[in-house]
Amino acid sequence: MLDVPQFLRGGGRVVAWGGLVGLAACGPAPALGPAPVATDPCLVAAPALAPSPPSAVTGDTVVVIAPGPLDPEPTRQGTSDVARLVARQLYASLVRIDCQGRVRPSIAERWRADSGGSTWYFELSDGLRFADGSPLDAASVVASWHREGRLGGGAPIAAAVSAGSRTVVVALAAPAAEVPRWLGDPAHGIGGAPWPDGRPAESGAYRAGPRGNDGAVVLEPRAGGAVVLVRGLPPAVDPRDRLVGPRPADLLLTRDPAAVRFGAARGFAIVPLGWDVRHELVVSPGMAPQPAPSAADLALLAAEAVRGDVRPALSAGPSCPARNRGPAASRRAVAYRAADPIARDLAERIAALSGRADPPAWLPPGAAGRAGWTALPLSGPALDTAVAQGTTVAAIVSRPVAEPIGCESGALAQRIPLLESRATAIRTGPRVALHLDADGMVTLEVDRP
Amino acid sequence: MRFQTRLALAFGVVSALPVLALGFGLRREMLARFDHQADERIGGLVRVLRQRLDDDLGVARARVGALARALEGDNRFRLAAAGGDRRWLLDWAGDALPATGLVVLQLHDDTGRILSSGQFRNDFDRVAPTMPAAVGAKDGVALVRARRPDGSVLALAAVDSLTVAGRRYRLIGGVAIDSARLAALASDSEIAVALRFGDGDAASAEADIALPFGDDAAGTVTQARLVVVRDPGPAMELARRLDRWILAAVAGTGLAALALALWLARRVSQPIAELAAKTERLDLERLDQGFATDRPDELGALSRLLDQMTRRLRVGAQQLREAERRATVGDLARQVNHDIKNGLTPIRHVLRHLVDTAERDPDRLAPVLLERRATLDASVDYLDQLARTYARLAPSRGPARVDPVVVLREVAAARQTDRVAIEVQAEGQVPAVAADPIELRRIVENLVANAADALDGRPGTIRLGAAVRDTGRAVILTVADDGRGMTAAELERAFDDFFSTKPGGTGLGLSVVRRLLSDIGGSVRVETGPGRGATFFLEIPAA
Repeated sequence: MLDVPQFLRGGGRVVAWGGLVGLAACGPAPALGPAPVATDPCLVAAPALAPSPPSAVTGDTVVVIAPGPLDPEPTRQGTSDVARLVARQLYASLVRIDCQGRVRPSIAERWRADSGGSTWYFELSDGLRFADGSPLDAASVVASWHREGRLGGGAPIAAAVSAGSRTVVVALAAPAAEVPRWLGDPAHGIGGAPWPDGRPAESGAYRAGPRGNDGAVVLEPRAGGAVVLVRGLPPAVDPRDRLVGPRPADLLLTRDPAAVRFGAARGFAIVPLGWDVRHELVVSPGMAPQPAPSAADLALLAAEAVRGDVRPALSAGPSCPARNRGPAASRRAVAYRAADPIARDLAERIAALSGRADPPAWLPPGAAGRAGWTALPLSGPALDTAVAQGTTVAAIVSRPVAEPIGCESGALAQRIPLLESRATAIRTGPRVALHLDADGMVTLEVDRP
Repeated sequence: MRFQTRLALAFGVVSALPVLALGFGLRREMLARFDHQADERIGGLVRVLRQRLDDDLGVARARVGALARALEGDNRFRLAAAGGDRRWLLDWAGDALPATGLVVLQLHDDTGRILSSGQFRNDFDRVAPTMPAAVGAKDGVALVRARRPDGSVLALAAVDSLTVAGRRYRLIGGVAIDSARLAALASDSEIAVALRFGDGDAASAEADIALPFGDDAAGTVTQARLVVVRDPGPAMELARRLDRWILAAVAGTGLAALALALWLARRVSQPIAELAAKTERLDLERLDQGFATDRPDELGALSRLLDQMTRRLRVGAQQLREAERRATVGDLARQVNHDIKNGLTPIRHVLRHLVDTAERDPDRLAPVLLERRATLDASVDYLDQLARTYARLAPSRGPARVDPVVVLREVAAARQTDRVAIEVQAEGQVPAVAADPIELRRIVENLVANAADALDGRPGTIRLGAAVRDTGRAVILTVADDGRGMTAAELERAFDDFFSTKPGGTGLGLSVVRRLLSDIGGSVRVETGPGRGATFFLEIPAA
C-alpha cells in the first residue's frame, strides 16, 4: 500500500503536486453522483416504522445504549459497537456508504473522476465548519488525512491536495473506481485542529460534551435539538433490562437474540443493521490446510449451532496454498473470546464435531477421536496471543466484514470464514431516526421532522 | 568404674526404663485407639456415602421423571419431533438444566442420537449409545462421564423414557459426583472418598461401592468404584510424634537422673574423699588428724567413729612408743646380759678348770693358768670391748680386716668343754673379711652357744669351718652340730625376735646373728631337720 505522507515526503512529491496543480487548474468535471434516491431504504425514520411508544419520552435528552465499553476519549478507530456509534456521530467522512452499498454525500456533495479514472475530484458542501468554528474546507480535509496518516485504507492513493476551498483532488497510482468507497471508510472521518485536550475538532452533527455523571458520552447537537447520552453496555448486564423501567433507552443496539425477541414482544421497532462482523476459524499453523466448508455446512452452522442473527459468510476466502507447517499446538482446544456468544457457539460446535467418528472434512485432521477438542474461552488479549502463537489447534476470531480475507493470521495460520453477524437496533420511541450504513453502524438523527 | 559413674548409670537405668515402658505402652494404646476411631469413621462414611448416593439417585430419578412427563406433554416437543422448530429442541435441555440442579441432561431418540444436550448444547446429532447402555445396565443407575464443551463431567445418572408419536425417547439426567464433592463428604483429612475406574487398586481401599460406568468420551462401559481410603500419613505422623515425645521424656528423665546422680554422688563422695584424704595422711607418726563433725547422717557417724578411733590410736601410739622404748631398753639390757654372759662363760670355764686343777693336781695350776691365760685375756678384752661399745651406744665400730679362722679358733677355745668338743677346719687359704671383730665373734659365739644348747647336755662335737667362695670374694663360715635339729615351723621362726625353744631362752640369739650379718653385708642359711642336727652357713664378703 502506498503511504501518502511518505510518498509526498519523497521524490513522488514533485510529480504528484505538479500533476495535481495542473489538474486543479482545469476546473471541476461534470458531476457524476450521487444518484437521486426517491425512497431511502437505509433511512429508518419516525414515525414511519415506529409504533406508538409505550412510554414516550420527550425532553432535551435522548438515551442511546450499545454494547461494549466506552473509550476514555472518543476516537475514530473504536472497535466496540458503542465506540463506533459515538465516532460515527462526531466525525463525518468525505462520503458515506449506505446500507445498500451506495455512496452518499456527506462532507462532499459531489464527486467525479477524470476520464482515465486515476484522478478524483470531491467538491465539498458550502459553508461547512468544524465544531470549533473553523472552516471545514478542502485544505482542512487534506490536512486531517495527513495528520492521521491513514489515508488510503488499502487504496493506491498517491497524493491528495486541495484545489480551491471546496475541491479535494485525489491522485492515484493507477486508475480505480473504488476511491469514494475507500474514502467513505469511517476510519477516514475528518477531524479539525485539535482541541486543547488533543481531540480533533468534530466534523459531524454532534460535538462531545463533558461526560455525564454515569460516564455517559454526551453528544451535543451542533445544529440544535436534543442532547444524546450514549452509554456502554457491559457484557454482564442483560440488555433487556435497558428496555424497561422508568427511563428506558430510546435506542438500544444489541446482538443478543433474546433482547431482540423481547423488544419485538414489547412492540418496539426492530431494525436489523448491516452485516458487519465475520467469524472465522483460524487453524493453527501446526495443522495442515483445510478445504473450506460447503455452503450447506455453513448454513447448518448458522441455522442450528449459533444462537444469534447470523448468516453464512458470503465469501469463503481465497484458496490458500499449502505452506510450511508450524509447531504443533500445545492445547487441543478451540479458543474463542469469552464475551462473544457467537464465537462460543461456533467453538462448541466445532468441539462437538471434533469428537465424532466422522468429523466434517473442513475440520483439520487429527480432530477425529472420541475425546475431541474442547472449547476454550479466553480474554481478548489472550486470544490474540493464542492465535499469534498457534498455541491452540484452532480459534474462532471475529473481524469486520470489510476487512479482506487472507490466508494467514498470526504465524502462518489458515483463516476459514464461517459466519457473518449483525447488530440490531431496538427503537423504543419516535425521536430517533437512523441512517443505516454499510458497515453495520448508524448515523443518528434526533427529532427528525 | 568410679562411684559417680556407677551412681549415674544406676539412676539413668532406674529412671529411664519405667518412662520408656510407659511411653511405649501409651504409644501402643493411642495408635490402637486411633485406628479404631478411623475404622469407625470409615464405617460411618460408607453409610453416609450410600445414603448420599441413594438421595442423589432419588433426586436424579425424580427430576428426570418429571422432565420426561413434562416433555411428553409439551406440544412444542411434539412439533419439533415431527420436524418443526428444531432450534427449540436444541435449546430445550440447556434451558431446562439450570432449573433442575442436574449437571447432565440429554435427550436421545430411539437410535441413540442426541437430540438435545443440556451440558453441551452443540453436541446434538451425535450417536452416543454409551450413556444409555451404562444407565440401563443395572437398576437404571450408573456413573457417567459426559462430554462438555470444556471437557467432561462426572454424574450419577438415571434414565427415564417417553413415547411420543410412536417413537420412544430416552431422557438421561445426572447429578454431579465429582471428586471435589466426594472429598467434601470426608470430615477429616485422614479419610478420603475417591472414584476409581476399572480394576484399580482394590487392596488399598477400605470400603467401596461398585457402579456401572459409562464413559461417553471413550465410548466404553466399564465398572467404577466409589472407594473410601484411609491416608496412613496421620497415623504415621502420630506414631512419629509419640516416638519423639517418648524419646524426649526418656532423654529428659535420663538427663535429670544423671544430674541428680552427679549431685548426689558429689554430695556423698566429697565427704568420703575428704575422709579418705585425712585417713591417707594418718599414720602412727601423724595422728593429729581431726574427724570431728556435726553431720547427722551415716557419714557423720563414720567421721565420729574415725575421730574416736584416732583418739584411741593417739593414746595407743603413745603407749606403744612408751612400750617400745621400754622394750628397746629391755632388749638392750637382755642383749647386754646375753653378751656379758657370752663373755663370762669362757672365764667361768677357765676358772672351773683352774678349780678342778687346784683340787686334783695343784702342781699344774700354774701351767694351766698360763695355758688358759690367753682365753682369760681374750674374754676380758671381749668384755672390755663390749663395754666400750655399749658405752658409746654404737653397736658397730666399723669394718676392719678380720681373719675369720682366728675368730673361729678363739670361740672354739673359749667354748670348748669336756662334753662339747669344738673342731675348727679351714679349707685352703681363707681370706680376711671386712667386719667388726667383736660383732663377728658375737655371731660365732651365738651360733656356737645355740649348737651347744642343741646337744641337750649330751656329749657332742661342734664343727666350725671356713672356706673360700666365689674365687675369693666371699668366705663361708659353717657352724654344725649333731643336736636335735629344727622342724620346718621352728626354722621358719628361728630368726624372729624373742623366739626360742629353750626354756629361759631370750629368743635373741639368731635375730642378733642375722642383724649383725646384715650389718656387714653377709647372709645366713640353715640346713636342718628334726634329729639331724643343724648347720649354719654364713656368707661374709671378703675384705
